[in-house]
Amino acid sequence: MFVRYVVVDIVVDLLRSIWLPVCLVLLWLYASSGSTSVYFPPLAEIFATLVREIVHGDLGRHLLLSLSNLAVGMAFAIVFGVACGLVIGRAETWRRIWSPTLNFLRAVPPAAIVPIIIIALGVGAAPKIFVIALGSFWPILLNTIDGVRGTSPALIETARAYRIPAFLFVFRVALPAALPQIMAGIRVALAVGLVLMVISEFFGADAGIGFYITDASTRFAIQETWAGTLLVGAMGYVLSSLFLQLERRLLFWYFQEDGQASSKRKGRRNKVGGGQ
Amino acid sequence: MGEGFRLFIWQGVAILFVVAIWALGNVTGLIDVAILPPVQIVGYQIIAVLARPEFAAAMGHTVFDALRGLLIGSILAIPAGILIGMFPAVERATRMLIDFGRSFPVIALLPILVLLFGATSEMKVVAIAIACFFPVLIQTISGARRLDPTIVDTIRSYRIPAHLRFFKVLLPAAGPYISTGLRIATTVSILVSVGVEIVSLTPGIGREISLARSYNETATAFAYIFFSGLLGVLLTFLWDRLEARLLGWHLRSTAE
Repeated sequence: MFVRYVVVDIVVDLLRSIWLPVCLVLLWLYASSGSTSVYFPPLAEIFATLVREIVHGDLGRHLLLSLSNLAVGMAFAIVFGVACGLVIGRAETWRRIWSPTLNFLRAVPPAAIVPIIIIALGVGAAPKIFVIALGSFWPILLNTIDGVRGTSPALIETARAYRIPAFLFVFRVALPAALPQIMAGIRVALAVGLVLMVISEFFGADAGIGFYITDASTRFAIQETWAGTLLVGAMGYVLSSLFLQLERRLLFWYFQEDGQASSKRKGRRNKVGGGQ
Repeated sequence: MGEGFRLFIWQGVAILFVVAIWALGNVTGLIDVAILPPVQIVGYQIIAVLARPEFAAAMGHTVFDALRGLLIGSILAIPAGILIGMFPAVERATRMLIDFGRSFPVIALLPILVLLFGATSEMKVVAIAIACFFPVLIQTISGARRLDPTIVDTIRSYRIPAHLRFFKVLLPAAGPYISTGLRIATTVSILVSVGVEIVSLTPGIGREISLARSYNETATAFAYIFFSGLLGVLLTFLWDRLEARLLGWHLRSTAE
């Protein structure tokens, strides 16, 4: 009996959150089914193209290539961003001295550097990885600095009083304490990285999902363009959902704290900037 | 000559330090001049570019289109956000769509937008509006949802009509959140504006960067990049001032 109720609960829960998306997709399918417009091909045909291109075409290879660039770029950004953030965030004067410089560098649109880097370094993977790493670096750095600053002084004093060695202090005290903010930074950086991944493939690339989309659009292959664009959207959604899961796992202790944690969390959410 | 002045000097030293590393990289040849031209040439171009007739026009296009997109995006997002936040069932039903929209890199829509609208300013504004819509929407929803239960009960017991509840209660209560959303969206609007211009060569700073680069005038491209960064700093600064004025009541009440 009880199991059945739980199952019903889960199903009702699921229905509550997916009825609208499902209805909209059906509406799109229905409205576009007889479409003769060149620019809005029937959704069913776009899906068919998507499946065909992944199974028989090169789309899968393009996607994997883009994802590997994104992963390597993000890895560099996380390592350098967190390391620099831990150093700068430790000393308040140090942070204040660097804040105008960092605020300016952060405000530079990362997309602006793409044509220069790509044209100078060529069409390989390295310039794309560099661009992704550079753009993702700033949100991670600034959030790490904020996270280190927000660490409770009592925690630091305790660590000092017990003469915790520097190595242990960094990995057992400073890093976990700043982790919620660092994860928020990585979440923003992921969105930035995704945008840069696509833009960097718009410029003189011969592979990757961004190349696939522009190439299709210049060939006026509208269905392929739509298919590639929807795939990028799906990829963004899957990546951010996976990251959210990872964040919940890693920060279960943080989300469990109640009361004051919720206000802290509010502050954390509001600190982060948009992606794009 | 107080504490503030010393800090100011040190902040200047930090900037000079970065410039010095740049110059050192150029001199020793560690930095390829095709990627980062010599610092003095970029410095000269930053001044020289001001005298160019296309500079003011490009700045104007970028800022004006970014603000138009921001305006359209937020005018759609704020009422939608409050409505979604008012009804938990609607919030549940739209969550997946919003998550999809917020994680969608708008720049990937560009080829389709160019096919639909052509490489025009209107296309740019549409892209910016889509990109600005989501941060404002998400912040407004969380603002409308986090309404104090006593306020909710008070509204209910006094039977405040819906339109008053919307304009006099929900909108001001969500104000700080909307403001955060708008601040994020302001940054986003400039980023997307420049990004779209770079890729589609619609008029604006991004186009000048792309063109300068393709004429092999990397130093000029960097001068424009410098000004695009300055634009971001300036807008954030102006937004902070405006926010302090509009939401002074909120900042004062949470300061204790």
